[in-house]
Amino acid sequence: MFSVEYQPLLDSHPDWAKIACLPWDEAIFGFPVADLRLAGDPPLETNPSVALREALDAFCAQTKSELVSVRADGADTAAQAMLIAAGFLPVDFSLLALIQPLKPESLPPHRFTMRPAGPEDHKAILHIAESAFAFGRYHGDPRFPRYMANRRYLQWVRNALDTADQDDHVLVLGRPNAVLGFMNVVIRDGNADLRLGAVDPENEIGFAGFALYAETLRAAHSLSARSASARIAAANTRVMNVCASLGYRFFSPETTLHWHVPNSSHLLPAPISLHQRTFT
Amino acid sequence: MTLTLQECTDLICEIYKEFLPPGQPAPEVNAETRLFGARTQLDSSALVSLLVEVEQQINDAVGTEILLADDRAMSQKRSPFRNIGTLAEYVVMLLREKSDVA
Repeated sequence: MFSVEYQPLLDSHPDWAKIACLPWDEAIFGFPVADLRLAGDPPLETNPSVALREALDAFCAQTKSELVSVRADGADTAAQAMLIAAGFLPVDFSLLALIQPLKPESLPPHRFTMRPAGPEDHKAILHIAESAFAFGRYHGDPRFPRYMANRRYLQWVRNALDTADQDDHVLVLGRPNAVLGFMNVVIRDGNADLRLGAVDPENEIGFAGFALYAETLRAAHSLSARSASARIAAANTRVMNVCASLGYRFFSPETTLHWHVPNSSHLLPAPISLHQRTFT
Repeated sequence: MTLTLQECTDLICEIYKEFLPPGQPAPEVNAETRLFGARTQLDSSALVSLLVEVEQQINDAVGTEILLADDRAMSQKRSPFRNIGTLAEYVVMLLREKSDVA
């Protein structure tokens, strides 16, 4: 089991910026990546972007990290501007989708089989997981290799299929030997957190995504969920429209940004437009 | 009572037109009109709504109970919902099955 401990990035402002390497992502990618958390106002006596960039340079040199991620309030343009000036690149913009209360009578009629995944479904689920995703911070990063981003989702699903956590469910859409999609749902305190779902990109049905989300809500209600939430990439307009049609409301805009180490050996070269964004 | 393939096609074309986004030039709608995929007018939730409406109108017209959007349709090797023509063929096949059983 992995654990992380965030440490101050700047000795002069230990409460403002804290950072940690993410061992689960390092195990998947084969090189260290880090996560930065900012809290409160940036230091006033110095240029926070310069201070941040210098501290990240030192941290990454010490830990061999090649990528640092940070999340910012999607409505806080000042914080985002500071991060971009430090060399961060926005890679994802997401919204929290919420249905509360979750009532089956407000859902479309039940039409499709949605059931807990069994061992016989694993192969189909893993096939979908390694090929279906196009959104999220790693897929949205033009410098991050697609095959590595796919590998991360594949590992996520493997973990969900292997977990002994009674609250962690993998549901499949479709009959045995005809799996069209899956959803990883964690139900805690009456809320169904739809963490990761996808439909087979080769399916020709046309509404498998709608069926997946609608039937997941119905299944979650039968598992005692009374609300449902999901964090969705705003760029994924298909899912956004499905959620809107099912009655979700949207909250908590969030931007995710990545900072890349210069001359990384694992990341893709920066496109010209990214070089032009580098601040010196 | 049953419906011919042409009658089904005409009915679905009329229903399809009601689901087109407002404020855009009306495209030509016929049996070749695609129902999903790139360069189509309907998203997945609109497609389901269209199928439910087709079901309703067919069932009202014929006095039967067919289901279009269900597990059986989803497990077909080739989707019956590729275009209006294939949907009409699927409707006729389901109606024929119903009448055979009756």
